[in-house]
Amino acid sequence: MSAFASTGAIALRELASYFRVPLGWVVIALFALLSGVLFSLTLAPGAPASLRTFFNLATWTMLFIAPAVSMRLVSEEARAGTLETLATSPVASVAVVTGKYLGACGFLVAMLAPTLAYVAALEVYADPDYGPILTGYLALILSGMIYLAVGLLASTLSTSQTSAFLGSLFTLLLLRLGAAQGGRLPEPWSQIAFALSLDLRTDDLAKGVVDLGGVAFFLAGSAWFLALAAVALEARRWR
Amino acid sequence: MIEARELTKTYGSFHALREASFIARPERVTGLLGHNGAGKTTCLRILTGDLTPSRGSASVGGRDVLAEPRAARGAAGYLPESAPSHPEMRVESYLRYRAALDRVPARRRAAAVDRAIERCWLGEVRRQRIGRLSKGFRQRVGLAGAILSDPPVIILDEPASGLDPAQIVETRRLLRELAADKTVLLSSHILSDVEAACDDVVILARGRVRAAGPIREVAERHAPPPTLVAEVRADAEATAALARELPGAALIAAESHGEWTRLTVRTSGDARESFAAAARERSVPIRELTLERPSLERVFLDLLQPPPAEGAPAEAAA
Repeated sequence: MSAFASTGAIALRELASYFRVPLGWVVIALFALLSGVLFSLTLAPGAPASLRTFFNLATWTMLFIAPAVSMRLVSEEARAGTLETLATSPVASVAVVTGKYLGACGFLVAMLAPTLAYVAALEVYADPDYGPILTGYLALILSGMIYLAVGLLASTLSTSQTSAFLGSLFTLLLLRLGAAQGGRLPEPWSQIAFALSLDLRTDDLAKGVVDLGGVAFFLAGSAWFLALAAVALEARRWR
Repeated sequence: MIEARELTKTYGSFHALREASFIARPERVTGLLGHNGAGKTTCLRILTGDLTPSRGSASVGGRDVLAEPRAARGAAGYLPESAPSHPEMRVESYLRYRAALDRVPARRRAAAVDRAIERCWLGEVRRQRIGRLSKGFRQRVGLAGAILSDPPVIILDEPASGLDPAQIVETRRLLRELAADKTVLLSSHILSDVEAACDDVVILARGRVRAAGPIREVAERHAPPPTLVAEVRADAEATAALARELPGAALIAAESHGEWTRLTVRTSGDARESFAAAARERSVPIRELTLERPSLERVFLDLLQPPPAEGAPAEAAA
């Protein structure tokens, strides 16, 4: 029970800290601006009442936003020395990592919340199909979650926020490139690239196809990166 | 109680800590004294679970740091050097957060925070952001964080650094109060701090424990023999001959100024009476006779130097 309390306290502190520093507000404002401009451009009489263009763009911007959101999670505490407080408290590394991850995921949801206004706008002026909208949000959140998990691992491995940002950005680009260009690889590799492809699964969801295997893929992938981050955090004691 | 058993920490070929063994007893304040780089912080980091020793083991509050790491971490409240905290948080919410980390049950958290705020004189700043506080207040916030869960052991790394003299005195009083039912271990490189704040001392030099025990006892045990200083009316040669009759005498100096000679001699004990008797026998007048014991400071300064046999050149921050 108290393990959950510690995880919860870490998650809440993390979420609140995004709003205590400019970074959180800047990210939210820029994302709202970008998606708002895009959404208003797709609004035209007779155009389909969908958020498809918004979701396409958001999935791509998430590639840059998630590393920016996650870069400070552990590296900032390592730099400030507060990681020592966490490391010497009776909280397990898994709980620390999970708390920080949940806090970052919470920020992601907070960032996406204003975009619900577009859904409201569509409802007022047109008759949108809610299926693809729901699965679109699901795809966005699920891919954001796995991106944040990669970013958290990078942040655990580095005391510099810049290298944490670049490390996770390049890892994510590599993962997406692998999926896009995987067909060019020789045999077992192309299959592996497809099997690990995030794009194929987000595309399915964007079309409105909810495949439980696909959802499990994202969750298991996130859990895998979190476990690696917990191991990396624990390994700091052996430095 | 804290028990360190042959703790060793190596970084490549550099030994930050070498087979350090000592005990910090409950209801006492123990000072870990050493120069910068002597291994104090490394030692405290191992005891608090932040670092794993290369060899050796330790127990904190009866919990082994290697076998039950989380229980051992829960048994100790820790104030790291420079008292890191989250500058964007307010004192009260930071302490509530720390209480949750330290497993204080939710229903007791508010009371624990109030108590820590009161004990560390933080009442006037409880709603301020930590980043806006002075160094002294930030240090107290760290101290409040360390005592929140009322742990049996309190470990503090250089708790006096950055505090003004009045705050240092207040902090000592608080540590004394805490030691009523806890084991308190603090590190310092300032001898007078340890002398004033601690009952026991553990002296570290280049990663080794040079001496440990109650401060007075350590000083007495390691004090070099006293020196006898005398001024007599005789020439240097005759005075030196007088000195040689004393038990275990080792002549340091015999300098003549006019008809008087000033003698400094190391003896195995208090040799004033035997010297006076010998002088009387030869009818040598004495105008000064004193026994000089080395000051506590001198004894500790000698102990703080690494043993001469070890000329290891490595001098790294630890």
